[in-house]
Amino acid sequence: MSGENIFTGLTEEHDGDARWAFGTGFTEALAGVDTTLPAGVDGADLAVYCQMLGDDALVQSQRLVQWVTDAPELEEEVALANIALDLLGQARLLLARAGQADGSGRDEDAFAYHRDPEHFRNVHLTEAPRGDFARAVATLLVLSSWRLAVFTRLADSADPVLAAIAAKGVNELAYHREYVVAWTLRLGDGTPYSHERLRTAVADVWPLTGELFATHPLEAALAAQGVGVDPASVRDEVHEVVTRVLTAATLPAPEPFPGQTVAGRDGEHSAHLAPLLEELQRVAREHPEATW
Amino acid sequence: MVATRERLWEAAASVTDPELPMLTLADLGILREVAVQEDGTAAVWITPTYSGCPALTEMRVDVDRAVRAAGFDRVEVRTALSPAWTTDWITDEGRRKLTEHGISPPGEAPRRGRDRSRSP
Repeated sequence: MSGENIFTGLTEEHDGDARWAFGTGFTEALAGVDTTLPAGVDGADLAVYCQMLGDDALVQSQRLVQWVTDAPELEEEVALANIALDLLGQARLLLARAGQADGSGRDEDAFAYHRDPEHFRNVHLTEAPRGDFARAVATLLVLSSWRLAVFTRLADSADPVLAAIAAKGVNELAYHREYVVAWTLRLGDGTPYSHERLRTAVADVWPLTGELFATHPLEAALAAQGVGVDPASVRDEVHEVVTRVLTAATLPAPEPFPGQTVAGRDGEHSAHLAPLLEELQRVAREHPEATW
Repeated sequence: MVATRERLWEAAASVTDPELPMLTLADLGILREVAVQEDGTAAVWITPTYSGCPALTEMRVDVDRAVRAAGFDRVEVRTALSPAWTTDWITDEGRRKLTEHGISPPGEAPRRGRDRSRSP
């Protein structure tokens, strides 16, 4: 170690890349995966579909990160951060797949950092303001139940990459749902105060749930090809799950999911998305030459 | 050729987990496959424990370095997504080491949906 600069000396003892994993070329989430498109699969459509599923995960992940340093207890903070990290991982894989499928060669960062709000395809539920802890529980109860139902079916997708991403996600989503079910029961069947907070949160979230089940023409087309899932096909199953959980938590049985039309999937967003993306994208856009 | 493959496996299998350094990637079931291709490229497949695993990049770098140190000049570390990793992939040796270090080895992972976990 050279004595003149201890930091340089310490750094020199390691061969940079190995220590920091910067600039290694190993950043691609799908490095080394066979990415050939199966015959009969429309790559452009598949790319947009991967953005829909990836953007739900990316935006909800960013929302959940707002709990870090601000959760009721450290244990819950770690749990919410873990859920956010799982969703971020799913987003990375899906967005990487999108860039291969559409032939553009864009990587996950190009999708995450260099698209404007009108090019994001997440549902409004994922971009809605964070709210209180009960709101996070209500949001994740619906979202993880929906995503688990969709990913379980996608594990049989005609696109083997999407199928593998979904099969991996199923284990993670099952944990997310398990976590929020436990909190739904604890809050709903807890004190009159916690019951009321959760009841309010479910009522606030409910108007945003219908969009999850509105079929985009592209989802219908990909479902017909055996690549994607028509979200309308999981409506009953998800409603049954959510009803069972809320009822067990002594909350009123929910209304049907509201009938809604496609909005976020077509890039039509609420005013809440732009500030969220501003925070997410700021560093990457200010330093476009940076690598990490 | 068989001996070369074994040398490759041993090199890759010697890499330890960044967070549980008493376990190797082989113990954890993260190392999935190795192959020496016709052009001499050493290919190594590893799988993430979960989709967002931030340690995967570090593992790739560590595997790359270990395999190069074993005499392979061309190395490709590839991601294997399927079948998805669960704690069932931890080997008996991995479980023994966990116990030895005061960590209870996980029980059988739940079978979920149409997840295609490793068949017994």
